Amino acid sequence: MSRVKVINNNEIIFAGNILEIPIKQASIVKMSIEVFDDDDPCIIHKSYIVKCLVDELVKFKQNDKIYLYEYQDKLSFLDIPLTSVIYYED
Amino acid sequence: MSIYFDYASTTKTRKEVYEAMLPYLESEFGNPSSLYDIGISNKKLINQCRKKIANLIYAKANEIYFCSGGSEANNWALKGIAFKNKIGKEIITTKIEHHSILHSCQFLENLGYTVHYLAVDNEGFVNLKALERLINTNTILVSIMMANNEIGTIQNIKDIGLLCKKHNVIFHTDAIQGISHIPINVEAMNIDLMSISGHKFYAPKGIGCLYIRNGVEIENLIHGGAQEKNKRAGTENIAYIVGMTKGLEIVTHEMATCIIQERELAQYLYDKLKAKVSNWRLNGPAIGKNRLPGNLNLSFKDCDGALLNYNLNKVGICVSTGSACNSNMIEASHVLQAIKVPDAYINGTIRITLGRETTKADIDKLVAAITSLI
Repeated sequence: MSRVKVINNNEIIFAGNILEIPIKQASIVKMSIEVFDDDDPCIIHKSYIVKCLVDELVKFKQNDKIYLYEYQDKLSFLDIPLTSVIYYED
Repeated sequence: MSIYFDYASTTKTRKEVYEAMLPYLESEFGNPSSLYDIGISNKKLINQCRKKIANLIYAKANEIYFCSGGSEANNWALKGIAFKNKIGKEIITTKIEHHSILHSCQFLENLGYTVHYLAVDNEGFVNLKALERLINTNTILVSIMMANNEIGTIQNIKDIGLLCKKHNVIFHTDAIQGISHIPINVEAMNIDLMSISGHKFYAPKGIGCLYIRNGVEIENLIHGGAQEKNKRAGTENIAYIVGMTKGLEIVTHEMATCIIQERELAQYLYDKLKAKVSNWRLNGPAIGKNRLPGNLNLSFKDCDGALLNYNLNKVGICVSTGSACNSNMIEASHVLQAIKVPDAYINGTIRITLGRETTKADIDKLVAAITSLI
């Protein structure tokens, strides 16, 4: 997966592998219940859910950017301000 | 329809096995301990299954004990021998055993037993001289797997068994991966205890057995009724015993052909991938007689194996990773660590295992998918 920078109000609030982008624990648990019917997933199952959620996010990539504010209703699982923009670095 | 490359994880119950099992889930449901016809006939059937399995591994019928699967068989072998032998209290195993062995060892360490974990070389082989140096008068058991589930290394079981025999030490081998690909003769291989699991050879999950050589004293793991000659309690899982027996008969009958086919397919996959992708390595021994024929454990440089696994699944391809869950973190498996896979490669590991339904066309799709994802 790609390296990204997340910028909000001209400030970098996250930089790193997109798979490590902050995601709300509650959203991970919610999806774990949907996928595994498990509200206490192990780390491997959690990491699978994270990949699924990041897959949802990257669908909105346009020209190496994701404008989160355009998809706030679909990206509420992110634990970053949805006024941010994600910039791909590679 | 997905393409399955994870036969070492589990296999689909084959039709012949399923059909052999069906009557015992329907009309022939009697409890083998009951003294009426449908019970008596099932008791007889279990004993016939026991004889068939014994014949396939050159054992005696009264040395085969049915249980719930490989993990139970491994737990039973280790704990059963340990609890029966409280004087010696030293066990020797390797760093690359299945968790059902390693975690049983940790449990026994907590009870005061000493466990020696033999290192292996970078292909996963045990050094017999190192093993002999560890054996002493306190050694009660040596447990070394026949073939490794992750990297496919086939140990020199016959010589390990001979060494144990020379020192009068009980030798257990986890043959769960090995039995479908290695002709087994427990006498010639000097094996005292051997674990088998049905679902690795096209029989269902939840059934296995432990071979216990006559004369080896072992404590029960499961207490209760008098089933399995008072050694393993619980109403016998008749349908699954029939299924495992059928599965083992077929896989043993087909073994020679299967080895050739799977090895050829593994080489085909290896060569195809080599031609398309660079910066990867095969973990474990070279494809050949010292490696399980359908096993390819591959590490891709600077790659995330879990992500590769995830993305292959998205295109309908099933493989497994070389990762394990350990204390709330994901790390490279203990086997990959033990064989010292280089840092740049270790996290980029996937295990591909081939089986009876694998075709060259499947492999072409896998190689194409890996090529596009790396």
